Order: sequence, then C-alpha cells, then structure tokens
Amino acid sequence: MNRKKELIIFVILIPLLLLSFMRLGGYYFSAEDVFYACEKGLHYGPSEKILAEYEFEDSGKLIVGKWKENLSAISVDRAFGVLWKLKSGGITGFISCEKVVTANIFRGGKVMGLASQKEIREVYCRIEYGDYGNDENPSIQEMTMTVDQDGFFYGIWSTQIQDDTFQYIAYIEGRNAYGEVIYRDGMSPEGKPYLDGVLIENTEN
Amino acid sequence: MRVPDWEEYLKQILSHVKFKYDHNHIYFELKNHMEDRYDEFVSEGMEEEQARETVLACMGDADEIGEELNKAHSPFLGWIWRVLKDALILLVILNFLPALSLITSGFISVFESYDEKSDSLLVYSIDVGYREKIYDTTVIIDKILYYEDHTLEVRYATWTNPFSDSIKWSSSIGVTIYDEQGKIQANGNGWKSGSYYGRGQKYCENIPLDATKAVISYGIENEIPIDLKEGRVMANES
Repeated sequence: MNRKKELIIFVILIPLLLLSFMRLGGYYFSAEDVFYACEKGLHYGPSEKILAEYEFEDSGKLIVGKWKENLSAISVDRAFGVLWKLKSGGITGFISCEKVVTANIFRGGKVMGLASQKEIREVYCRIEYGDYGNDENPSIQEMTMTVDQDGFFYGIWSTQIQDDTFQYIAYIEGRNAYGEVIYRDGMSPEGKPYLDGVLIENTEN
Repeated sequence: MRVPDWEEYLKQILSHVKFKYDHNHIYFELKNHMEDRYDEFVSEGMEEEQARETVLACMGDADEIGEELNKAHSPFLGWIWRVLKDALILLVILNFLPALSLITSGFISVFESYDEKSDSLLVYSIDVGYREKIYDTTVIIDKILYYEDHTLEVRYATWTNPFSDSIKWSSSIGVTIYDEQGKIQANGNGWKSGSYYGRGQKYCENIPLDATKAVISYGIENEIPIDLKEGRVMANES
C-alpha cells in the first residue's frame, strides 16, 4: 500500500480511535463538557447556567450550575495536560434546593447555596462543628454571604477543618437590601426553631 | 552460493533519500530484490561475476534511482506519515483497556440472569415490557412479581450507548408504591449491574396485595408509572 493511501486510512482511523478513547474513558476537551456530560449521565440537566467555577488548590475545579431552581455541583480535573475528566473522590451532582434558602457545606470548607426569594440579598449562616463524641458543645462560626442576581451565594468558612470533625449549618438567615431579616431556618440564637421561614410553635404547652 | 556485496551501490542510492526513517525499509527491499534477480541469473547458468554485473545493469544508475526514491519518499509526507502512524499506535494502546472492559462487561451481561426469590411463594406477576429512553439510557421494566411475604419485586434492565457523550454510571431505580389511600412507606433493597448494559432487581417489603400503582424513578425527575391492577397473572392460575 502506498504512503498516500496509508495517510488517508490514518486520517480516518485516528479521530475514530480518539473519540472511542475519550468516550469510553470519560475524557473531554473542556471542563464544561465534563460538567454537562456528568449531568446527562446522572439523568438530569443540562444546567441552564453555570453560576461559578472555583479552582482547587491541588488541581482541577468545582463547577456549579443551576437547573430548575436547584444546584448542580461537579468537580473536574485536568487529564493528559489538554483534556478534562471527573475529579476522583466522588461527586456531589444534583443538590435539591426545596427551601427558600438552601445552603450546603462542601469539601474544602466551601459553603454555597441558593435563595429563591428575590428580596434576599444576603445570607447569614451559623455553622457548628467539633469532634465526634463531643457534640454537645460544638464550636460555632458565623459567616455572611452576598446573594447574586441568580440567587446564588458562596463563601469559605474554614480551610483548616479536619475530616474527622462534624460540621453542619445550624441556622440560616435571609436578609433584604436594608439588612432586615426576612427569612429564618434552623435554631435561632434566641432558641426559637424555624423550618423554612416558619416559626415552629411549641406544641408541648 | 556466495552472495555479492551490494553495499556500495545501495549506499549510493540511499545518499539521495533525505527521509532517513525510510532508509532501512528501502535498503532491505532493494537488497532482497537484487538477491532474487542474482539467484535467478545464476540458476539459469550465468557465472557469478557476470550475474552480479547483470543485476547492477538491470537496476540502473544508482543516482537516478536515488533521486526517484527521494521523490517517492518525500520528507514532508514521510514525517506526517510517521507522526500519524505513531499516534495511531498510541491510540490503539490507549483504547485497549477500555475496549477490553466494554467487551468483558457486554459478555458478562449476556449470561447474567435475575435471581429467583426462593424464600417465599409467588402470588402474582405482571409482564410489564415497558421501555423508555431517559436521556441517553434506555430503561426496560421487564417484570413485576409479588410474593406471599408481601415483597414486591421489580426486574429491570438499562442500556446506554457506550459511545454516547455522557459519563456512564450504573444507576439503579427507585420504586414508590401507592394504594387507594396514597403512598406506602416501604423498605427495600436491590442490586444493579453494569454501566453500559445491566440488569437489576429492586425489592420493596411490606407491600399490601391491593397496592394499585408503582412509580419507578430513574434519575432526578424521570418517573415511570406502572398500574399494578392490570395484567396480573395469578400464580395459582398459571
């Protein structure tokens, strides 16, 4: 076979083999392609909008999208210098945001969430954390995050937190442009329990 | 038979071919050809020295051949050919493990079958035969079986094109059961194999015989309702 014929065969086979390798191995040309492919594989999405992308310290990044008033968070990583794939260590994927303000803690001390009420411009979170076995007196950290035009908010509460400590969001406040509290969820500092903005009356009395 | 030394002649030819990567190939091809002709002449009764000279005469001028071969083995096309050939070899190697995994899982799925529940007797079965494409996965609900210990079993399979643009997961289904009063709280377990093609079984416990509907969820918002009142084949009738 002469060289020109071989070249034609190579030009046909190489894209096919490259496509096969990328599809079977889960490699993509861009981080966003990985994000959308992962959503499709998990049978939801595609996100209407990518809200944010956050670089990890080691490598790769976390991409956060919004789909039907819910969040989608997927970590991606570089592969072979030019390609992208899912980051190892598990994915978050779909995050249901059924409450007016939903906030979650992610790897690396990241806190993010969605506020569906347009008036909410700022979200305050009280995070409780501590060692397992000593959960009666947890440490407390407070943080306030600005809500963007998509209702999305994001912050880093601690980069020092150890894996063997518990951490949860005990209380959330949604505040309007004047700083007035218009939404509460969880146990307030005054000891009043709220569920998605509604004060839970004490039924014992 | 003593084979003549063509080295000088061949070196003269190769000195004109600029694409060095092809030198070995050209060298052995010409050498083999010349040796074949030489053997042919000698076997026809020609003296060895005469045969050698005849071969060289037949071959022609080394410089002319070299120039012609240099055109045929152009360095430009040669390097493109070499790079593409190496890329092809690399891609074949890179595809080996994923392709092997695909073939193995496909082979296993051919022989895979549903587990038969042996600790309770069958009350009824429904041949559902429902098929729906959810994103790039085809979900096939094969059969629903109900047992005397109030367990409802859903047998299903999923198929995803391995070359589709999604990342493949081996997702299992969720099953919610309803009766006339509404949703029934039910515990359950199950299994699911394969990310490209796989079967699965889902068991829901404490389901009453008069349950009316099973809603099978796959992914986030994808639901397949199955009427449990229709198509029942009672075990004691079959």
